Amino acid sequence: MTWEEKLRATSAELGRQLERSHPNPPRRRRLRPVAAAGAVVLAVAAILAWPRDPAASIEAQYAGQFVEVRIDDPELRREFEAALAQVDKAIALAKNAVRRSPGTPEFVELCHLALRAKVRLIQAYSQGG
Amino acid sequence: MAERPQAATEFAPLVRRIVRGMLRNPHDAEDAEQETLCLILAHLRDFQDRGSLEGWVRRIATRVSLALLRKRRLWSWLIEDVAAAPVSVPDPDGFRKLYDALDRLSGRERAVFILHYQEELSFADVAAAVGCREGTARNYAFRASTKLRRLLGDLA
Repeated sequence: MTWEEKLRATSAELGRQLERSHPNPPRRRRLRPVAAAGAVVLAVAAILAWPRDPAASIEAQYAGQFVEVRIDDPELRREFEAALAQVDKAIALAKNAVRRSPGTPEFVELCHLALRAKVRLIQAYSQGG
Repeated sequence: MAERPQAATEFAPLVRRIVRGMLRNPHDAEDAEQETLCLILAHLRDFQDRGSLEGWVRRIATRVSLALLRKRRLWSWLIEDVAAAPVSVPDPDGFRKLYDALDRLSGRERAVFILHYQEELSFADVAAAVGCREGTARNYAFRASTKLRRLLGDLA
């Protein structure tokens, strides 16, 4: 009997056995602890390394200070809105500069200056202009 | 073909042999068997008499098993199968050794081996069941047999 013939005979016997029952006992599944821990570490590292908006963290420091200003005088309101538009434009430019070069302290300082200017503008007009 | 639902259950032993040959986890084999029988019953009406019903059943069982095997291998780095209780069974005919060695074959090699050696199908039928060319099926069978010769050495 050649090896190939023996293989065929064993395979046929395996087929008969498989029809009766599964050769393996019941098995349960479990997480591989090392792989699971590795996956968690990788996920945390990916979250930490995920690039964030550097300008957003600066702006977050002024959150809550940009309150709504109610001005009844129409001329005063136009004046305020014009000034606010200029400051907002300055903030947008500064934020853009920070995003392009987050490591440059001058841009970060510029961003803070523009945001502080907006806070002061709002405070000034809240107290009657 | 009036008794098709009966025909589906008639093929249950064939389905069982194929899915159990392909899947080492008994729960997976049960899932694959049920899925295959459900697919057969669901699509029996669509089966056109273009080929043999047995060949069609074999094709479904093989493809369901291959899909499940692929899924399990994809997640094997994270999820492992653990035997509930290790058992040592006498293996006078060597089929246990052969069954364990089949785990070292790729999914398609295993499918071709089961269909050609165990089910004694021609390469044309094997190719139809696996969904490849006849030459490719021959190639898989050759590779499977070479690997098994290396793994098993002299068969009992």
